Amino acid sequence: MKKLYILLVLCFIGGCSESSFPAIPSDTDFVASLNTLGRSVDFVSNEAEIIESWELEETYTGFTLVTDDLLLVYGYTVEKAVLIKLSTGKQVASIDVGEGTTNSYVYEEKIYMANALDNTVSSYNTNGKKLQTHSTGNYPMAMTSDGNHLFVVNFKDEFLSVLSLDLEQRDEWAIPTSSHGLIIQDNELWLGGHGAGSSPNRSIKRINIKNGELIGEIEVPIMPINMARAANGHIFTVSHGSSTVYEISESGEVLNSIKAGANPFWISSFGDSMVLAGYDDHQLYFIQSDEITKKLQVGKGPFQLIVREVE
Amino acid sequence: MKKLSVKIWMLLLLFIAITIVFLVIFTNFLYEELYVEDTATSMTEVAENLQSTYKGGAVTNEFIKQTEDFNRFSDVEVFTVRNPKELSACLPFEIDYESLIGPEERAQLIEGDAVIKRGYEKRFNREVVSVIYPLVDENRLEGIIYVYVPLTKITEMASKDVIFLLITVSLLLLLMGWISLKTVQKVLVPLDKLKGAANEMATGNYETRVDIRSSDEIGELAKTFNQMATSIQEEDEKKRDFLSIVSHELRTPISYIKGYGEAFEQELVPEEKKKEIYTLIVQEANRMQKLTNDLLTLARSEQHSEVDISPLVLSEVIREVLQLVKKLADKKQVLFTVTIDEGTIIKANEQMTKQILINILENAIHYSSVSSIITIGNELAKKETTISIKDEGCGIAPEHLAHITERFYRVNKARSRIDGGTGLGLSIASQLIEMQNGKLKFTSEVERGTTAYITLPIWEE
Repeated sequence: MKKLYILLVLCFIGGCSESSFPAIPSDTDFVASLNTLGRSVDFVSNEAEIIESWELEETYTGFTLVTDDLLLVYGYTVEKAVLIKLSTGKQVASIDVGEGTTNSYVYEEKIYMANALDNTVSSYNTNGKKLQTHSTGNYPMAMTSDGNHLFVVNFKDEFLSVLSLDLEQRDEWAIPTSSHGLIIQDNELWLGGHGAGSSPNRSIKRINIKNGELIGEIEVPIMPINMARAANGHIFTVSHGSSTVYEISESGEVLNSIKAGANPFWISSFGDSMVLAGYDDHQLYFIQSDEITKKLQVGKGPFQLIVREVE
Repeated sequence: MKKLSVKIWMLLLLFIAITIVFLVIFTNFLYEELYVEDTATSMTEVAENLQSTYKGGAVTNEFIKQTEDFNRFSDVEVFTVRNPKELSACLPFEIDYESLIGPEERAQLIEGDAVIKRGYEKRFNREVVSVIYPLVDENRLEGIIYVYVPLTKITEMASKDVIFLLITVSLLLLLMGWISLKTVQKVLVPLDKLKGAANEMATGNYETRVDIRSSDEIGELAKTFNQMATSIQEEDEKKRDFLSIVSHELRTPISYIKGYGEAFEQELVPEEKKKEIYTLIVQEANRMQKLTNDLLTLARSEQHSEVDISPLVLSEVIREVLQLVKKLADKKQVLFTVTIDEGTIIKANEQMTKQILINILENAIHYSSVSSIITIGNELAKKETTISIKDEGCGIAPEHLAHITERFYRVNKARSRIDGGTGLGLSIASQLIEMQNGKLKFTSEVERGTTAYITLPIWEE
């Protein structure tokens, strides 16, 4: 029996030592970039300095902050999504999601994960327990919620799925294929995308959040695929085809544009700045209004950003 | 069974076909290598020139038009691409669109390096050689200059003339085939001749010869064949002569015996003649017996069976032989003078040696004049001894001397029967000496006598 205990203790220690990363103090604000080509995460401070870097063992393609101290990482080719406690750098749970995860979205400590191989969206609690699953169109990816509904963009399909937060089908709205980038602005759903076939998309679609009707378009060439709301309420969008960031007013007017980064895919609001991730030049750009204030080199292929701002 | 000529011809044909196929492939390969290299160089120049006119920023419509204008007057295909989808810009996303460049190429182009590639391009649905130059502005891949040339294969290039090409190759193959067939046949004609000649020989036509004068291996073979044919023919003639002589030699005594027998049967022989005729019949019968014995000895000696060799004291052997021929010698009052070295021991077969000596001595006695002397002596050399038997007879003319060991050869044809010899004695002696690794030689002077020299190996301890 003694031997068995020792063995169990050893297993426990071994298990705990698995996927241990440098800890990120709980009181630190950061913008973190997931560098998919370099398989790393860089935590960057408001002063545009790298606080900490994590080397990842798997090819993770996305990450989400579940709570201020809980980070979820997942990958399209990785079967398990992992929950990591930032303050300790230790893995606290792993979720058996299977291959094909394209995106995750967290609303009120409920994790929604889109799977493009099964064409489903599943919800999990913060312990990694699966709650519900619902099938969607082809290749579900971008997701957002208005508090009542979960909007799921089917990347390779011509409709957007509207589900309840308990993953029940509510509606389907027509959208172009290769749509990506989703933000709720008042009673509108703003939707970006790459554009179908060979022609690149040049605008953000303004969709009525009640019925899915196309209200209008905002010309932001080319390929707007990510949007973020700045502290002043303006929406910033990144058009990766032209490496341009546009500042749009709440009412949908383009106020400013600035060429920044090389093939950027993501923009986030961090403090007073907008932070842009240049996928091809491996740099983060800090933008204020129409000016690049800082930039810094991160790992290869920064694809996604998350921001933590401790209250 | 296939003929040798067909086999060789087919082999030649195969070689020719392989050579043609190899040449076609090799030419194609060479063409492609040189063509591709040359084309890539000229395309690089084009792309570099165009790239040098790019001033940064977004790729303008003017720039695209400029490329198109260039394309109109160039022998290579050139175009500029600025669509991010074509440039794999959406790469982390699974876009339902086949881009013009791949992720590795994009990375290389962003670094400012050109991409040169060769292979099947789905976009153009053919093999191409392409050179891609980046239009980079501050790490941003704003566009690319794409230059390509379809990799025309020789067969494709000559597609119009492909039938002509096929006909030419086929005709060439046929011509080569015909030439090789004729060559093979020409080379193999002598072999056919040889085969025919061998068949002729097999049917007993020994006069057959092949007329091949080439100096190669087949010529050599033909020469050897002719030599063989000559030998066979000579042997055949000898055999025939021998048989006719034998039958002739046997017929004479038989007809004597038959004649006298019939005379007795018809009681035509007077009483006083009877004794004489009995003697004659016995004499003829003895001749026949001797003849058949000699023939038997000759036949045995020709079989080359193993000879039982032992040490023999030469003087002893000669003494014994002289006892045997004494009666014959006494009849002609021939005397012997013997000076044989008592210590000479020869390495020979006793029976054979005695037979040799008897035959030669009988011959010497026959041709000796009455009351003459036969001198017998020996001389020792290192490994052999030569026994000489010298008579004082009529001698042999030089033209006959070389032939006296031939069967049934007689110097004086008229004398033969009266002598009582069979005409085989010296022939047998010669053969037996040869079987014991010895030599037989004669010297003679007409009216002075003949000397026989028998050389035999001596016994060495």
